[in-house]
Amino acid sequence: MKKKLDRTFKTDVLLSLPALVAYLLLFVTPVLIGIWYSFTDWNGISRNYDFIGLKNYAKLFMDQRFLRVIGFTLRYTGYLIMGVLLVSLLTALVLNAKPKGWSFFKAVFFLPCLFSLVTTGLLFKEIYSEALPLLGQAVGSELLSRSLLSNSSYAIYAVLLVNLWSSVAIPTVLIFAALKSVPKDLYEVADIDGGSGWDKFKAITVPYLIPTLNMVFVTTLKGGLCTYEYITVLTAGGPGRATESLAYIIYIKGFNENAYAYASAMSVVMFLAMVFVSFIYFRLVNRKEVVA
Amino acid sequence: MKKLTSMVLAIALLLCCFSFAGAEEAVNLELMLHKSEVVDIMNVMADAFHEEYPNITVTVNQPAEYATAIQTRVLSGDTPDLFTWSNDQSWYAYFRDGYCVDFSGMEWVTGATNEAAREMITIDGGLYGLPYMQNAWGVLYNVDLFEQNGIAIPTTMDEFWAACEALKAAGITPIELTDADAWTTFNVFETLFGLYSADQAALFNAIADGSGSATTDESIRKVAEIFVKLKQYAQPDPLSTSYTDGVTALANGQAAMLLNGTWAYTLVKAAGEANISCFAFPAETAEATRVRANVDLAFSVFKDGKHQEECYTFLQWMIANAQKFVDMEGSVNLVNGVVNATPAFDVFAQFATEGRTFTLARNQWKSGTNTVIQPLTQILRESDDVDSFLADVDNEVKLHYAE
Repeated sequence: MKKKLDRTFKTDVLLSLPALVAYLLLFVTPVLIGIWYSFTDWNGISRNYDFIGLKNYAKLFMDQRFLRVIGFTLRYTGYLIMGVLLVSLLTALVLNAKPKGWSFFKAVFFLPCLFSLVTTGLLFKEIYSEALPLLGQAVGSELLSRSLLSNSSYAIYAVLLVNLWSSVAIPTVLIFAALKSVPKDLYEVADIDGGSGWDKFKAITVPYLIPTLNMVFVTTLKGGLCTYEYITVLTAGGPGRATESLAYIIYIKGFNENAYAYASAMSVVMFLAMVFVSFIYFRLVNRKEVVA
Repeated sequence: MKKLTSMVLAIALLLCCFSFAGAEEAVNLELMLHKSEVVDIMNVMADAFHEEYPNITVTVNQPAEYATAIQTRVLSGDTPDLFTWSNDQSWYAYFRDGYCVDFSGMEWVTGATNEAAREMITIDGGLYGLPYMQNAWGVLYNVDLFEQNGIAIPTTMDEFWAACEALKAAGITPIELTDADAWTTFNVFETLFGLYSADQAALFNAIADGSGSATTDESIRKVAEIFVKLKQYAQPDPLSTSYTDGVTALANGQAAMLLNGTWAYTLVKAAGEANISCFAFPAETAEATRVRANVDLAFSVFKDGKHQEECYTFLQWMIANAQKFVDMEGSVNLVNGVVNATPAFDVFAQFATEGRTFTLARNQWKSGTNTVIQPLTQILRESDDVDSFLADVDNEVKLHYAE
């Protein structure tokens, strides 16, 4: 028995080894190198640099621009998570009710994720710059008569809408599939007991959806905190600094302002923030998960 | 038969060896180009060079996010053979770190190019670029719209505003601002700043050491007020108008003026039929008017490249054929003896001859200050709030200079 286990273990290790090596080389190693650079003063070009300890981190928390960008990114990510969870859940519930043409609409709602982020951004940039202002002028709306991307108060929502449009596709499909796992007899029992639609949703549907919702939350959290492509294509962080996100400013600092080590420190802070928020979320939500 | 076949094959093999031994090694040089406006022209030059030097092929590569592309190539050890850049101190780190060849001792560079331009791009005593092309920043304008409305070329600020009023009254958009692209917004501010400052470094140094403030400085306030006033004569939503949109608008006669550099001229000519020329953006008086000029294209050679001699061959050819380049592109060339091919740029050449030019303000400030000021100019464009802008300049410059 022990011999068989050893052989199985060795087989498992050998079969996992290529993927593990690739993961270590392509993900773990660059992350560790990035963390090292965050403790130096490397400008991203020079052949020489010095170890400066925690100076980059100390500077970060005195940097007004960084703190402002953190605020923007958290606000943006919060809206994105709420929007994605709400829209994908509602869409999946409606599709699950199998209205007329549900199969066709399922395919249509999946289409946005087939476009690249840059393509989507460029398309919407034209819509905001050309099409929407024409519509705004036609209906007499002052707000819509100019590009929302050039308005520092509304640019965040314009970018958010684009992100939402492309982000709900896959969560909708996942939640729709998860709804199939809910045993129908539980709904029948709830009907017999006189449970309302909301009671059934809260007590039966949601617990079965929690693993999927967890996954959607974490991927959307990552997507929100790492928002870069839409910001670059739609606004380049503008107008002024109205839409500078954390990922965008990490890029600017690292590649435009020759402050690579400082940008690495920002990346480490972003990573820790993601871990912290995910941890809190899982602790709060996993108590309600259905355990088979 | 078998023996005969073997003999023929052996002879053929021997002949091949001799032909390879006699042939020159084919060399492929990669030239990374920063200016999208001259990609086609540079490809024409590369093809013409290849006709004279069949063993050397120059591949022109003009990637988006050029600075990032160069940085990643350098860091990964995959440096191109040559690259181009415009005079901006963000490039100086490559030179100070010894990545590029120093042309100081090369007579074929120092003897063939404009001395003032070489001085402009000499870094810590080294000449790391071959200065090739100069730009100027001013006003590209539609000649026909001006003539049809009886407007003379303005030589003072008051005349400029009067010209804008006349165009506006005639139902023509006087100025096409392109503030969706923040670099163009910043360029307007930076040029006005240079035009109205006797010493471009003085104010920010004073802010940094606490002896001065943007909120009390008359010249930067004047600059901000002019910057804000320009919007009164622009299209309705400049923050949603890109550089490309602006070029198209001028080219198609939808606007009378575009505040930009000579680099935009070829794009405007390619985009439409309008009759375009240039004039210097005026100061308060004609006598005080100067033109912002900078080295717009310099060639550099990476030391790590495998084909340095071939790079020099290509650059020497570019020097010898600079007139061909100028005849296609039109900007003022920095190779000695080249004749300016674009009448529209004669005005800038005249200012240069008279010594009435100034260089980029950003190269007089601490490195990176332009990236700090640029978003503030977009905020000013949206808010029109000069006082807030000047207060922000104070705060941001103080923080940046203290880093």
